Amino acid sequence: MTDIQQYLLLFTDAPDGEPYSREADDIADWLASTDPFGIRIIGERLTPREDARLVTKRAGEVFVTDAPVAEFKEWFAGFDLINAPDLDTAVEIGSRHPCARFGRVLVLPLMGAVQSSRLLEATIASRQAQAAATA
Amino acid sequence: MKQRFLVLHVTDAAAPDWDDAIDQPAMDAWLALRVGPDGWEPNGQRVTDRASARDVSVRDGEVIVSDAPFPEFKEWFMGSEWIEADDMDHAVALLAKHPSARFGRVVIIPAYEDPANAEATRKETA
Repeated sequence: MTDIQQYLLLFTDAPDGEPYSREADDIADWLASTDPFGIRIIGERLTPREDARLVTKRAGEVFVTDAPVAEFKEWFAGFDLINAPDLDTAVEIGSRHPCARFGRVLVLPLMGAVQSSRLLEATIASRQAQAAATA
Repeated sequence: MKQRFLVLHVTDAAAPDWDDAIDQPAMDAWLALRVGPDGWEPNGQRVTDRASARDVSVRDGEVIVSDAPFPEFKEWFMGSEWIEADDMDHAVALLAKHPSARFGRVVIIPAYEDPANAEATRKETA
């Protein structure tokens, strides 16, 4: 299969990860090795567990749980949707992300192509504007 | 100001199975959803099963790649979605209607907004 596949990278913390430090955070290098090559579709940082909610509906009733602790031992620091020719390449790209050292990276192949959306495009455009404004 | 959220759809072994009669109309309604004046479209990305996923970490300079079963995750991911809402309550109200809240579970995580970046966006769009 030679078609470009798409992958969801989920970055989580990990008890055995390197402690985070700004000096060791070489995210700029990762972005420089992905963005010019059309690898990254969208990527965002996420807020701490306390800010998240878990929603279920059982027998018609909606349940909202604060800070889903029991379900996830490790919490999500961010995500990226990326293009890669195959799983091995996606793994290699993920392994160079600083979160592979600070935590870990789950590489999840997507079924089919990324569903486009004006919101995805607007988010990407606003991040590019931010990068240009802060450059 | 609108907030953006990552939505993770996850499985739940204790939840009922997908039921065509209930879940298909809910899914159709979700897919037809347009929110706000600019309208964002549902953009759910379905992910493949556990067996095709990998866990990647780097420890002491060494890349460690492992595959299923990932015991730290009892349940697994069905997909992700990128949404915008007025606030968390609004996001919860929207996702409570998504069929995966019934046959699975929905995790809603606000995106981190760097105050400096938010300022840059305001200037850019002013």
